[in-house]
Amino acid sequence: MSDAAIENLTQALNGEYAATYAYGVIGARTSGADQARARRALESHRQLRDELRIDLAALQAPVPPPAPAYETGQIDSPAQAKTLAIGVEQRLVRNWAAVATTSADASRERAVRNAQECGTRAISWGAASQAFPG
Amino acid sequence: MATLAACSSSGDAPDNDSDDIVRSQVTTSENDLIKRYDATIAAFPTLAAKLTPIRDQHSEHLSAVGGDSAPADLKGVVIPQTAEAAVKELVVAEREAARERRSASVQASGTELVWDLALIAASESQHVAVLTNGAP
Repeated sequence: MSDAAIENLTQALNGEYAATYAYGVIGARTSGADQARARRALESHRQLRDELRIDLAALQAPVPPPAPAYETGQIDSPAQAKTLAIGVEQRLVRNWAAVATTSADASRERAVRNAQECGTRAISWGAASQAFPG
Repeated sequence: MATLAACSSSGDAPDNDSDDIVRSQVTTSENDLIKRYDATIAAFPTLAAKLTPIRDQHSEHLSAVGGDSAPADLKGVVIPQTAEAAVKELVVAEREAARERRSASVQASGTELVWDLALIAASESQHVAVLTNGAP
């Protein structure tokens, strides 16, 4: 497995750490259907985070721990929380597309599926579609 | 499509050839989608505001894979009777496209093509979400 593959998996892991942190903040600043959406998204990103940790460990690559905190900007309102969610998901589309370029077969298919799901979640938070998301 | 067999002398020709096949398949699919959007917008002008940005994103996909636009011949494109049914057909087409692009990314060899196809797949999944108002 190439250094580039490990680098891309590590960046995706950092993106998923940032996402799980952000969704904690987003959940605290939203209510009702949005809060439920944030909870579902948090669950999805935790799972992706865990899979990436397993992938890196299987490659005998370093598995970085999460940072104590991630930059989210000031999040006081539901609107700010939604903007944060959109940003998190759009960055992850790029992270997963990068993983796709350095993986093959079922792993690549999974990476692209993850990019698609992050792109779809961005729409669910109110983003407009993009020709090349992220 | 005409360039498929044109570059067989270089050392990495097998990858190039198979990437050319992937590109030509994506070109055909994106041209079909553009035609379908054009016909739907022509039949239901009230949908133009929602559909035109998506149609234009398919044009960007087409350019990214180096595809030529097919002549805009809307003959033979059958559009459902109601706007609601027409949008439903677009949802089906986008869902299919998103799945095809994911498969194409697995077939592709060149890093740039894999990257583009992954993002195009994500874009087309977004189209499904936009057309279904966010419901996955």
